[in-house]
Amino acid sequence: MVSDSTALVLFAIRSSLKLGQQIRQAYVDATKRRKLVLPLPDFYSTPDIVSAVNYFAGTGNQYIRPGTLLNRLFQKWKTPGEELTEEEKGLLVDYHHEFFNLDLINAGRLGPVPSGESLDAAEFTALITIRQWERGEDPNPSTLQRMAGTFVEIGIDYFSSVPGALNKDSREGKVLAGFLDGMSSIDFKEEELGAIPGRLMVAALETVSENSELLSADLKVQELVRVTTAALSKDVAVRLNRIGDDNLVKKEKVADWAELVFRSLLSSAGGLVLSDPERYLGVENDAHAALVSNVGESVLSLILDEEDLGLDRLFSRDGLETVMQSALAVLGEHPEIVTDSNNEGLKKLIASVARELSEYDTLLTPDMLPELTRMILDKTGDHLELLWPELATRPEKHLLLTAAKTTLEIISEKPADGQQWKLRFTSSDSLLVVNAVMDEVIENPNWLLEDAGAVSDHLKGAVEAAIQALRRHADNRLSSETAADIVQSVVLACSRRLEFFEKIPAGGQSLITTALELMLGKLFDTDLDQKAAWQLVRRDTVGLIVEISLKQLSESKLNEAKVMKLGELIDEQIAALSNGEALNLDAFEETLALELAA
Amino acid sequence: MKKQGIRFAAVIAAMVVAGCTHVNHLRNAQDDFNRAAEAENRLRFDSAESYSQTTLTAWNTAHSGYRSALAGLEELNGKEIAKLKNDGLWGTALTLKAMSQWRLGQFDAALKTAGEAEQSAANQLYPRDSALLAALPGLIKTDQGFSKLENNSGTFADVKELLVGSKGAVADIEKARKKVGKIHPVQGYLIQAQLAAYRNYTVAVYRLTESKIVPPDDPAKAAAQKQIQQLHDLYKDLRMQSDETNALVSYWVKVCALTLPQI
Repeated sequence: MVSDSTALVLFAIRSSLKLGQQIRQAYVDATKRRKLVLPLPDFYSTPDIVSAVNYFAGTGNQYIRPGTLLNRLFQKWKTPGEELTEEEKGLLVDYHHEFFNLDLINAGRLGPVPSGESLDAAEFTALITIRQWERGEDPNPSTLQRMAGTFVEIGIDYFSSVPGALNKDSREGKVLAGFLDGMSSIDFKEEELGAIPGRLMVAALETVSENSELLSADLKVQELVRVTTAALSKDVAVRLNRIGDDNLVKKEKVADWAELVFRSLLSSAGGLVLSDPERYLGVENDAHAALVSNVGESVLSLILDEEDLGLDRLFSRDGLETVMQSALAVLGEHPEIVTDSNNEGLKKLIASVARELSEYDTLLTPDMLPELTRMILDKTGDHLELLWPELATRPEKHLLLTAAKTTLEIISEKPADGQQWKLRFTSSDSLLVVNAVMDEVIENPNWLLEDAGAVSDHLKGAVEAAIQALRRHADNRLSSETAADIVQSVVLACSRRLEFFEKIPAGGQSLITTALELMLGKLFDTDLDQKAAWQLVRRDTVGLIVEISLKQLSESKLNEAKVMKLGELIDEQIAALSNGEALNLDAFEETLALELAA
Repeated sequence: MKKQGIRFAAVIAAMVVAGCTHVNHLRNAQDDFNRAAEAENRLRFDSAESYSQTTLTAWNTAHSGYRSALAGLEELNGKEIAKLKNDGLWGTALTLKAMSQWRLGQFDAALKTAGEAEQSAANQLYPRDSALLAALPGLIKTDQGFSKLENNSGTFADVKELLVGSKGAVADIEKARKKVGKIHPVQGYLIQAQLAAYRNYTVAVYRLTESKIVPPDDPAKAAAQKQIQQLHDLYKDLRMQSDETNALVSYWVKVCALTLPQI
């Protein structure tokens, strides 16, 4: 009979051989795939007189006007026998720089204040550091894959060879025990799950050690790992079985996302679960899944079942955790979301959010979808019945989803030909506006609902009025950030006073449209006195003037006369600035308050 | 248990790594090469006058990295070379050697090494390296065109042929680009190498012709314009579009006096 110490030595020899082989091969593979920084060949890297003259002979020619210095320089350069001085060459290069930046602004590729000239060397190096294979084409297993399978083999071998080896009182022991318990509850053939168990085991160990909340050697951690492992592995096994043997790409996608969701769920769930394990891990009855499992399955289903939306491109690890934390919080406050909808409520809602809003997560406005999902979930927690009235029967219908879609449809539309203001909203601008709209809808659901459940047009009307007025009158001096502030001011003002939607008999426009057309038309008037424009059309000032004006209008006896009065007061302010006075926004607000109250 | 497990694996790993001197030599050479390339790129983008006297010392420092990489690879003995071949790393090593020789101006040696790689390590040339070796003649021609301009030593016809002729740098690199997938990240590097060649061509036109500007219907200009669009589209397809990649594309548009790509 082999003694314990001999068994241990034999085990160590077997393991070291297995590990050694895999480590060596992993080292070789890693060397093959190592990134290289690639040097460019020798070339004239700084934009200079050659770049400048070619530019002004081509696309830049539109900026050459008779009588200007630029014209004189360019004509001199073109004249045979004439030679530009070094200073003149320098000037031409400067003009190139300025007009090229203007081209970038007009193409919507730069904000109104260009911030840098050339690419930073470190940024360039990052872009020219190139890996060996395209993503997904590397034929060699990753180091993790090489090692994980071996660790699982070694782990199982160890626990069976060496009695009492698993110290269930240690943190790692609890994680492993929870993991193995979770796996043991799955009825699967080993071939079906392939390398997934190894990946999940390593993921569990790594995630627990990365998260300070999970560092206690607490039974709750073991339970969390068990529940999460069991739920996800079961889901994955079903999916892999459905795919069958003829599509390795799909199987790999399932494995990759299962691991990512597993890690994100353990990270997100930690604090909440440990504070109230009953709530999050307890199962009310056989028909209802633990809240943690429900969130994990819903998110995995979102990524893998909505293939036509390509959501795998839109969700990073951070994005997944954002959604999961919010989902866990709202389910924690309202477990009836799980029970009343037969476990389907969350899944259908986040799928619906993705279907309706993923088109707004674009290359120009990235990272929107996880944040929009988070916003909807977070705000649902405090206003469940108001926002999600048909949870049990039609969980995909949610008031904030309608609000977000309505808003994004309008603000993300490409500017039409002939419209002056061409900048597009960034992700953060769009999210600010949607957040403000959602808050107002919560305060006043009449934004979207009329009597007898009909859908109201007020929200659409307010946002459209703002955007149309901005596109018509503003120019490249207006940043997208200030535009987002203006849209928020409009929504807030309209939220206070329904009268803003009344139409003026003469022009047929609403009061809010009339007010905006007046304000923006005057502020961005190209004939505005330079002294006045210098003070008025500064980045924050425009937004503040609109905010103050709308606020005072909403506090007045609002009608057409008040709006016209506002126009007169702005004219007076412009005249004062043209005469050399300084802009004082507090004084302007006081004047408005006084005059509009009269 | 995890600590013990990690220590155990770490001991095994250390023993394995210590026993892989041939791989370590290659990795050290890769590190030297990367440092040199980074230094060279930094000089290119941070210096207002890339080739002034004050930066010559800095250039020499960058090039010493390439010398170090090359020396490390030339020191490999027969046994180590055999091990590299056995591990499928010989193609990687030869590619690095050829690239180092190129940057040191040893053009003939670089082409010879590239030929050796294609003959004796063809099945160990992985996608990026395979494309780089194929592009090497084009990269060399770009340098040669640049050198002729710097030294006033060539006619316009010579320089044009080197850079944008039917067998010039741009054409060579175009052939190399066909060796890898359309969205392999090395395409980004190769397109920029083509634009570098075109940029040198614009300088040649300025210095060596009467007209001084590239004619609007010049096929080389049309090709460069296409490459700008391809660079933009590549970052889009790789989902790498960001302020940095947009700035990079804008940089090439500006320095080559082309038109901004369609979004």
